[in-house]
Amino acid sequence: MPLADISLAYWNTVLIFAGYIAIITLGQYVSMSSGSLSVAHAAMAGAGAYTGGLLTRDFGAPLPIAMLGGALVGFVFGIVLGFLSVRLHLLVAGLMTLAYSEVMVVVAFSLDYLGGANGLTGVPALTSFWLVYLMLAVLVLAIWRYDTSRLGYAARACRDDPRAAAAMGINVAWVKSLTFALGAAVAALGGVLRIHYTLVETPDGLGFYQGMNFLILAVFGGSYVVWGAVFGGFTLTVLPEILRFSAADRYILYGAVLTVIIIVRPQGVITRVPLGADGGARWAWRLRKRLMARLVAGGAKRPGEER
Amino acid sequence: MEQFFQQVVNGVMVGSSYAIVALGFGLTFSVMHVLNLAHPETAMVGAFAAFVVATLFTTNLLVVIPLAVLAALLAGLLIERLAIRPTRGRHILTSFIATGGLSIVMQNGAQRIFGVDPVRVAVQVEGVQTVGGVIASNMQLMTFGLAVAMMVGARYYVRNTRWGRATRAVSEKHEVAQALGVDINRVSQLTVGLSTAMAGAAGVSLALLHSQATPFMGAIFGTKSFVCMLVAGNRHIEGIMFVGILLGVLEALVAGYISASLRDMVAFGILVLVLYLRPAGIFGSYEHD
Amino acid sequence: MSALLKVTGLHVAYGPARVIHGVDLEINSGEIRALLGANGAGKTTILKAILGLVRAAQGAIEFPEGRLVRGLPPHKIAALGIGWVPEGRQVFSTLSVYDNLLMGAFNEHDQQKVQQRIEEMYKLFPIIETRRGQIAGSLSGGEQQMLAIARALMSAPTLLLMDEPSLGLAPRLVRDVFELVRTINQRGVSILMVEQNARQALRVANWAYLLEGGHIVGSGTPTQIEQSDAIKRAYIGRQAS
Ligand SMILES: Nc1ncnc2c1ncn2[C@@H]1O[C@H](COP(=O)(O)OP(=O)(O)OP(=O)(O)O)[C@@H](O)[C@H]1O
Ligand SMILES: [Mg+2]
Repeated sequence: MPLADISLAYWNTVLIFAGYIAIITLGQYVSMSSGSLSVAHAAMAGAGAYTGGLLTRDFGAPLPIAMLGGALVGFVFGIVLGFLSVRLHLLVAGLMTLAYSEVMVVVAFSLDYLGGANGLTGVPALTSFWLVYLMLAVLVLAIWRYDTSRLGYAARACRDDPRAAAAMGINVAWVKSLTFALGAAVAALGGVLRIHYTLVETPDGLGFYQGMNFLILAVFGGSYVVWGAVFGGFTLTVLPEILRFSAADRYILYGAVLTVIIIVRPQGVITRVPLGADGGARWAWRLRKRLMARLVAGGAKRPGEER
Repeated sequence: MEQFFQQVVNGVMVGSSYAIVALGFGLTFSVMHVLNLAHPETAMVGAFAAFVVATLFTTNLLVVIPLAVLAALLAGLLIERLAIRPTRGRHILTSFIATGGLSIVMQNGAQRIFGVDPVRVAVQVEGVQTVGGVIASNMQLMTFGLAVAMMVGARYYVRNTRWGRATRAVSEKHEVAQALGVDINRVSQLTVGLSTAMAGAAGVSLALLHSQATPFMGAIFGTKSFVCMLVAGNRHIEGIMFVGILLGVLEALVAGYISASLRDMVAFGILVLVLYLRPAGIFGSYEHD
Repeated sequence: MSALLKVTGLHVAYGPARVIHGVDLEINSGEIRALLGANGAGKTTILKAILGLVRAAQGAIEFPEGRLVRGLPPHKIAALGIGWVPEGRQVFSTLSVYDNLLMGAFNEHDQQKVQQRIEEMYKLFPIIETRRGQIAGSLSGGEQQMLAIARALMSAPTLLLMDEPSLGLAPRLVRDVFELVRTINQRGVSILMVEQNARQALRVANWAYLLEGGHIVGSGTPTQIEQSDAIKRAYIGRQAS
């Protein structure tokens, strides 16, 4: 096979990964828009993936139905978790989401019907590059609208000052639970797309470390604006691929980049302040440009080395 | 009944390690208002330091343990300088990510240097103690003693020393403390240094008990000590100790009587229940102002 | 006489919000000066800028005159001899009263001196002695105010910055506090006092500044200030009710 083909197929894979990871990160963004702290979105995506996978594999459902079913399950889990943690301190609520993830791991692990430790397999391949990016575009648009909707404003009021929000007549518990559940549904949708591409979903993917990863993606990109989530999900997926060293080396670099950038731009890379408005932004922009240059050069020079 | 007490004893031994890691986690959080995700990684540093010293130099515990604790402390000071000091006073998630990045660097750095597979830490302590059929190895007792010594030392420091007093003052009102002449960077270093030294002690204990160290062993402590900290609240050092040991015991009992795979979940379940009944933690609040 | 503290052209901003716009003020050794102004005028911000707790965007802060302190970390500025009685007392509520006093003398390494000062504080504030073992958070508001002042005096400062020491006190205690300000001053401590209680403040001060929206809009002797239109507009008018 000519080198160019491998490279293309390889980047196709990476970009599909980046696409559904961006979708799950969007879910994280929506849930965080009302001020919740969540490490449960990996588990939400997992719940969606298991649900969607079962629907297509065992019930012969078409993908749209699977997506709907997955999102619904995510929504239900989200609303329950949201209501349970709404009156808790931020960090304790975060712990609730952590506990939820760990419980989901154990459930997935111990139910033979779900494939146990081996995970859910035998799912048909239904996800394509275009489908992922179509969904991403639709979701970005919808969430963009959400940000300027009544619910979106209410959510931000709850995030910035719950007491003032309550005084303004906003039902804080309801808004927080609802937005948390909507975000969970979006993440679950990403999970459905994922399993129909990777064709397997394992319990480990639901745990704390994966959940933390989505939290990092959202905050890194900038949790105050929808593009932040897309940017974080996208760059931090593609970044390790550009850093073409051994797996350990690229994660070392990845970690270092995370630390440096969050210190330089604590509000996340993308904010409402236009890029270039201050030194940090310009710095991050330049870094991004350099990375893009490497993406082009690296992709062509040493194709298909990994994976 | 004997088996029950045996499980309790084993649980206390493991739980004391959770407790000192959680204590450092909580101390750093309550004083600097920073979640140090790289904190559990310093336990791993302690374990690998023990491995290096034991392999290259000596297996004398009086050398191995202090050097391991020292290595963790130095790692802690580096974390403080790189990720905690620059994120102090900012949103908690900022420190979360900055230290999280370092934790990824440390895990993979250790993997780079020592490989993915566990390395053997060949330090032996012979002998067991038996009381009424309940057995505890001398090694277990020694690591337990180390944990207790660390907790007592930390308590003494915070309660009875000049910098300990300054630490409590900073934890409560850092601006006032600074205006009274307290160098907050010094407090930050002392706090993180003490915390990571304790984590290092936990790491070397684990390495000695299991005779091995792995790059990702910090994760074992990570979530559980975080849970302990939140459940206990951070008002009282004794509270964190108690919850850590209790968690160890519960885990041992669940693993012994129900199923090993349920261990993590049941412990979580009970802890969440506690939190749900007392959102501020059992022993007090970690909300400030 | 040379100034003990001299602030020139001070600008302070919290992020994008500019709060202090080019403030000049100074205080000579042995003086009591008052900084008056409505809520949100920026009084606390000026004190915090002097202490190094908020970063000044621009301007010079000299303490004592000729020695630039802007940009030094707060603990170094404190070590030069500035004490602070923060707005709203801010005692360390989880520490004992005694520990609060010890915190005040944090950088005094001579234990004898520390004990001596504590005795002095007990003499000045007998109530504190009776409560010394108690947690500071359990004191009454007035007692906490005394403790906050005592804590600031424990470092034997040459300049004391007091932020609304009479805030939330009963009229009788208010009088006591201003009496205390005089006493402290007579012991050789210069005082810069921020106050809402303009009448009382003007009675003890020998010079006053009037701050409005981050600008100094007037300064002079208490009599001059009392008669100026600016103060009626900004301040007393609203208070006199
Ligand atoms: N940390 C902060 N971040 C942003 N703005 C602040 C901050 N602290 C104070 N401000 C703003 O700066 C302005 C001046 O505040 P400052 O506390 O100095 O006023 P003040 O004169 O002391 O008022 P008061 O009499 O109510 O104590 C106010 O408009 C306030 O909202
Ligand atoms: Mg004020």
